[in-house]
Amino acid sequence: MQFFILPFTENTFLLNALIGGGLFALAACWLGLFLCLKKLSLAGDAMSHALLPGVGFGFLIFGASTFSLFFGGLLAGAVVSLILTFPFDREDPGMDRKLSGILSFLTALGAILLASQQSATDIHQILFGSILSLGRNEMILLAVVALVSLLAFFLFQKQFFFEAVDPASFHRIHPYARFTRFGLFFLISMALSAGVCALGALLVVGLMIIPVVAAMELSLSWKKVLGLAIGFSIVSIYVGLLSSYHWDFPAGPAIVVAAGFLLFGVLFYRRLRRSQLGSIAGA
Amino acid sequence: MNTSIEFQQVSIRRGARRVLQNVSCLLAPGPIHLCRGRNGAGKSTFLRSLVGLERTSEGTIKNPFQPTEISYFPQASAIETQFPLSVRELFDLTAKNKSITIETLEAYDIAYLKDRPLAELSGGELQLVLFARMDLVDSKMLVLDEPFNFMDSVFYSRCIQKLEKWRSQNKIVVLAAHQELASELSQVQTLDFADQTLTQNTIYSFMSAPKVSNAVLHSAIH
Repeated sequence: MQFFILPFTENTFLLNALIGGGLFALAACWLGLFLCLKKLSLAGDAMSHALLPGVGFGFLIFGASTFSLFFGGLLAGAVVSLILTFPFDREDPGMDRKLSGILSFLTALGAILLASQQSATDIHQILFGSILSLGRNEMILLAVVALVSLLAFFLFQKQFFFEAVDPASFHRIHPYARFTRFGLFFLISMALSAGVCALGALLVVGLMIIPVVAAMELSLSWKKVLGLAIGFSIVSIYVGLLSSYHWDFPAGPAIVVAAGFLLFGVLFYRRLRRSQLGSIAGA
Repeated sequence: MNTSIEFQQVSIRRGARRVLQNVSCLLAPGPIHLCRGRNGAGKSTFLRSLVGLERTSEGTIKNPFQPTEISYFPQASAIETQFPLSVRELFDLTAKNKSITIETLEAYDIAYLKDRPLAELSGGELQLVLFARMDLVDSKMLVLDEPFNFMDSVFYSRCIQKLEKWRSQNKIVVLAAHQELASELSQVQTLDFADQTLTQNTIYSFMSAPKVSNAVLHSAIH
């Protein structure tokens, strides 16, 4: 009790971190699912890095506030989403390799923008986040983004699913199919930009993807996958924060590491079960 | 209102290579249009151009249909099968309402598959599901590229019946198949492809029920 619960009731910053992380998980889990479904989980990683020039730009112009970070990231996200929708769309067989080139370029550009201005602590915060010092603004931002993201999912899930499961038919039949694609990428960059304040540009995609990957190992129903993914996210955030509190680990990385261990656990469980099934079938 | 498709000396290039050469034909409601020919003869390109997925480099295609009035069954299944979606959920994406989903599944005798995840369908089941998916909307033209791959004889004859049903509803049905099925259909226009072009185009009519043995019909044709 003292070990597991009290840290959160006695320290507001830990409770804030848990709630803020949970809000991010709500915004991110279905987006992570679609990144995985569209086989773009690596592009999601690259996307989060490509937000850096936007974040750096926001910093340069408006200083170090949460909102300047967010809107800077959102701007970069809009550009990246346009790139992913128009010149390098799904029909381009070389999309994958061109994308990795462009996104690496954007990452480096971001590094230059950040280096020109900020102190080492700021850069550290941008890259790895500061989930233990979430203030009012950050909480509001995360709550709004979670709301927008979930609303978009409930309103347009049919379009998003159709575009992901059968892109050829969807793009043939619907003249506005590209907007669906753009919308999805834009929502992803929105969630990532908001998550930067908590987990940093390098780690944020970890909490978007890892719980979904683990959940997809366990179910073939998207509803269950999403439920499990949210559960996994919250467990990872809790375990990460707790270990950070007791053993002084950096909180953001501890959360992603916890999620990683969860994934390994799931993979191991699957392997174990498969080999059991195999021996039964063989006998 | 015009309800037939006309190709006028259509050629299609992909890079420097011509993948379809100088094809002229008329596809009208009435017979089922069956494209035959060896691999690489140009059947799939022809079908893709019917659906509007190819850009012609010469000639014109007169196509009176909107994209939403055409159902297309592509050769390599374009569906992402490792998807956490059930058959019913897949159908609900296309169907106007949920009762159409159930009716269609029942019409194809696959109601037992409704809650099965796509990833757990067998090859033949997946093909039949995708075939049935074309029946969710009331299309005016149905284009099918090798729909019978992996199907057993039960599923196969079920699909043949549906082709006949669409034909009798005056829809334009165009398909490419390797099976020798001209004789199993009551009215057929065969389109024979070789070397990227249409070599022959003949209409056969079989007034009786098409259940006569293949051999008899073959001798009747030739």
